[in-house]
Amino acid sequence: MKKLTIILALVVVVLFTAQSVFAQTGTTSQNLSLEVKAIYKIGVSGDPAALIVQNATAGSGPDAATNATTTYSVTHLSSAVAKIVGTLDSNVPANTTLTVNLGAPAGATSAGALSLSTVGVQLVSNIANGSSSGNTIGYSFSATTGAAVGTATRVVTFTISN
Amino acid sequence: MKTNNKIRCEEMKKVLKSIVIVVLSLGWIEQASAQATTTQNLTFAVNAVYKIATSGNPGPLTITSGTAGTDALTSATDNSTTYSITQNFGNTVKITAYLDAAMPAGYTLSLTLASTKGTSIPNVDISNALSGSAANMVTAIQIGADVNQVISYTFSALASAGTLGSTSRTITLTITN
Repeated sequence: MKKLTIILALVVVVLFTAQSVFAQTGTTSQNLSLEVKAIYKIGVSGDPAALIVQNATAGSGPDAATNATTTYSVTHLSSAVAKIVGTLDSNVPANTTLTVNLGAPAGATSAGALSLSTVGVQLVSNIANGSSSGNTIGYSFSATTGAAVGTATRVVTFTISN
Repeated sequence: MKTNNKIRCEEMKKVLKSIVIVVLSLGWIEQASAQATTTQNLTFAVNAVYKIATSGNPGPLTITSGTAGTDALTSATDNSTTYSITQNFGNTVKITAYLDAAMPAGYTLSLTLASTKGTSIPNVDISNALSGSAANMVTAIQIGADVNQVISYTFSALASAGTLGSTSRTITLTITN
């Protein structure tokens, strides 16, 4: 009987202790380190159709072939305005010219139609933070009568950076 | 016993009160870079271009005079129209001419096409030049454009051929290689 009394007393003590522990108002804290790094993203909607010079007005040079069916999108977040530069993997053939005109996101500035080559050319400047899609990519391929007849392919690379 | 329990209770409190500091480094590292690029593949071509056009139609070529004692009447000429070309094929391009119908016997239609890009053949008789027998007018035309070159027509007739009522012909100029 005495032992039983002691055991019961212990159980009561333990229960009381536990209850008193959980009844307290506890606090805890976490230190979070949050960071958003500079983001530069650019993508295109696809490849344009072939640009084919095949017509002319008699007495004048061949008509340029144009294409404005593709678009680009950008997402930019940094401490400075961004720009887009365009380059070709290799120069276009002699007596031909390939220009591109990128429509600018709101608030940015398009440089207009500029010739592309292996040397990068700044096509859009003053791109603020944010995202923009559906910006037109306008190509124009022209040739003089001195250009060789034939077909060629090139890779155009657009780079967004600050 | 009470003392032991009290001690254990204090230890549990310490454990529960201990602060767990979790430092989370949340960063869109995979999105962070100094720049980004995208590419487009372009295919472009320059096809062979042959273009020729005229400025319009010449005026009527009407023979109204002759020299007494000479069967050949005084020719009628017209230099009022021009042609222009553009070609990028090569330096062997030529211009040919033909009529939709041959001229009647005794009547002659001659043609000269001026050229700064090729070799002009003067006063070519095209009276019987039809689509299957077009006459060369300019040969060895260099690549490029040649604009507003004079087209010269000469219409000749023999008195012995008699009069000819108003007649029309269509002349076709073709630039080809």
